[in-house]
Amino acid sequence: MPGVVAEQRETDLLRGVLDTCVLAVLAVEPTHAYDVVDRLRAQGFSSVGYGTLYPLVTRLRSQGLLQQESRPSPSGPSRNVLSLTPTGHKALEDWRRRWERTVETVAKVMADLDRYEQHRG
Amino acid sequence: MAEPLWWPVQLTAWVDRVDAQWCALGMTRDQRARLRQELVRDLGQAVLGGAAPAELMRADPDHFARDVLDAEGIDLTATSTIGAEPRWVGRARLVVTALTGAAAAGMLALVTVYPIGSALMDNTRFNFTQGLIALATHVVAATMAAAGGALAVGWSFGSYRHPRRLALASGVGLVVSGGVAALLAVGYAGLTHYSTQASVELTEVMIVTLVCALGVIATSSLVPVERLPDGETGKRRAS
Repeated sequence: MPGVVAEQRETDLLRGVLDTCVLAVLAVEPTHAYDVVDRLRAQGFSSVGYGTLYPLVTRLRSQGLLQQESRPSPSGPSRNVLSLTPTGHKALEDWRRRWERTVETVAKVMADLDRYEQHRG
Repeated sequence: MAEPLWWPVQLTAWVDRVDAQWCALGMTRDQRARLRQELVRDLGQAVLGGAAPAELMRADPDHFARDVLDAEGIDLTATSTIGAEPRWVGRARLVVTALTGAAAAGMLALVTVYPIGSALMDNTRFNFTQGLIALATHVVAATMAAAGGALAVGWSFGSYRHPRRLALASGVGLVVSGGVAALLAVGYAGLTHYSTQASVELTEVMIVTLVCALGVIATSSLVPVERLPDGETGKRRAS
């Protein structure tokens, strides 16, 4: 598959799950937006950048799923920390269930494909 | 919002481009101020968190600006139609305005200043001083035409960003290209033995128009042609 197409495919797949992952990261530990980028990259989302995450966080905030508060920092100016609202926690639960169902469904389809290929091979 | 002292200066240019795109998309001054303040604050957090400015600026500012507005739930199709104006339309309108203004002022010069120089030029035995006066009247006439073009742009583009810079750039473009156009047109006239045939004179006018248009395009391209949202004038911004 050409590199550009593969990259676009990854972006398309990412689009559907990135908001869930952002909520999950912030549910574990409230932090600021760029730290979320770092954490997602550490988990393997290498293509995620600030240009993707800032608008996404803005969207989640405007949907009332995230809130931002200023917290004093021992080293320098106060930090704006993002955290989940109660609605955000509910959304995360819901999206996580949906994601798990999707993964199960896709796994079943792929298992069928595996069986077919084994039978044919 | 003023950036903090530790703010990396290169981020300001990137934020300015994002802001300019918000402006072009029809955001009001207050909306832009709020969006910019939030963005600057967030970028500041990222820098304090150890992010490299180059990494933060990797996103295309135009796309980024659109994505943020989309995330804010702002319907871009419902915003002012100003943002819908393609850039080339603004540029084309600027060239037409500059040339129209220059033509109008040129006509005024033709009936006021130019006859003096023309009369002196027709006198084949004029002295050095009279020659200088004749040259000066042509320069004054040309300057009037260029100033007319610049004034027309400044007046017509008052609701755009940088109207004064646009006017100045157009004026400079008219002066430089006007000089080149005059040389070309006079050269062509010489080749045709100063024919007064309509086709020759039309060609001379076309040469001048085309060269002046190219000159205005060249110099005005150094200044962005972006209209400001309703109620916000470039004159007020410039002050």
